[in-house]
Amino acid sequence: MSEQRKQKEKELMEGLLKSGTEKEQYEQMMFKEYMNIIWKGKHKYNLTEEEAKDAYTDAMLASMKAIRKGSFRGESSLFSYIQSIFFKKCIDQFNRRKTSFDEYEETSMQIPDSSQDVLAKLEVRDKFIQLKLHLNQLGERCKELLLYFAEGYSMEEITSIMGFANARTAASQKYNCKKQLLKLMENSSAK
Amino acid sequence: MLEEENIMALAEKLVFEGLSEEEKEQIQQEILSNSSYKELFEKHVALNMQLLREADERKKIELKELLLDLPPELEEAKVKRFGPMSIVLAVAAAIALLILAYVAFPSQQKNINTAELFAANFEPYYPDNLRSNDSLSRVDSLLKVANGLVRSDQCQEAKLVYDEVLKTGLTIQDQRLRDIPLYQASCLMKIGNYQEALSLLTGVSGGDQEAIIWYRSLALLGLDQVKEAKEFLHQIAQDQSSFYQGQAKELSSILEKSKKSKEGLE
Repeated sequence: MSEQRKQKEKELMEGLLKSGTEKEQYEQMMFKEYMNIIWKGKHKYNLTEEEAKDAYTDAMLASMKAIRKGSFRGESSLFSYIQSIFFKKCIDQFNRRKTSFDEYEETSMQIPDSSQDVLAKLEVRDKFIQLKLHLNQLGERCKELLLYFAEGYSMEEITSIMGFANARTAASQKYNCKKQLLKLMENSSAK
Repeated sequence: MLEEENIMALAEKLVFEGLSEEEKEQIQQEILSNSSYKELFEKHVALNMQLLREADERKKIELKELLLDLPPELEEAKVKRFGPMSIVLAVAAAIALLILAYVAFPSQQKNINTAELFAANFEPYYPDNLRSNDSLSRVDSLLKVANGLVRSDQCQEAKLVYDEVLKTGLTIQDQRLRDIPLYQASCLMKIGNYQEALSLLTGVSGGDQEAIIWYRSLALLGLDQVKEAKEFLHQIAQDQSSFYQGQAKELSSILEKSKKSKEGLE
């Protein structure tokens, strides 16, 4: 791999560890950097353009998460890593044509490996399906806060973006929003 | 309230960061002995999973907007980049260049340090680890083991396990198995067994063709067969869509420069 390319990959990976809008800029930069492989996946796995684009977007999201969590350790180049995830997502897209797609399964696969054995012992599936409808019933601000949190923003960043007095207030709001969401779910089960 | 905060924090950790062994132990004990803890914990896990999904969906929509900038697919060169015509043209161009090179500079390849060039350009083509969960099929479990062996450079052991995979009735045409020759060859090249790597890469029709051609050129370089390596490098250098185009151009140019410096000395 050329020095220039190594440098570029290093810059992208460091950029993803930044916060707020700077992090978003690097996410976009990385997303654009490798988008040509969409055509490669499209032909290699006989996908439609839309399927290949979906697979690419999924692969980029997974790669960004892996970089942030430190699970990509740089044993291969970033490109090779992204490409191998992309090809797996292409296979998923291909298989999705044959089988009905299960949102729960897909989401549970995104959970870190170190949590999988605990997850397997829980009965989460039904609750997950029930919750699906209720997120949109939350107030906009609550929903926004929870989604920022799920996207990996720290409480300090959320405080600054959403204008809370401090991180403690933001954390307490997050707690209340989650309670509210669970209540919506319980009320709907009781009906 | 405090217990629920603790449950909430653990559920968040399970979904977003992963649990430590200690935390796993704590949760497993609680869910076995305390049904209301289990119920509440499951709700919080489900809630965080739903949030994770929604956040991903939102991000995905944002990112997909950037695909408006996706350059259009190149015509023939892209669709049929390894089609007969492009190969004929690439080979013809390579032969023409080689003839020219041999007429002009009859003994040009002796002072190229191919080992150094190989080391500077070789990067293993590693398989990704499969996720470890309870639902792995036999094939996936075997692949996981074999891929792990490749990653730790135990190429011969990996080969035995890959052979086991093929005994399950699946063929190399199965999408999960297509890149096995590439993984094995890359592993062999990493430990210096270029000849066997080259045999594995020769005649492979499926899988990541761009990578196969690139690694063939590197295996040839490792074997000090510069002339043959250059043929493949020219082929890659002409393929605008190949990820390896830049590297192939760079490497070709180094080989050319070596040729010229040798000529200067003479």
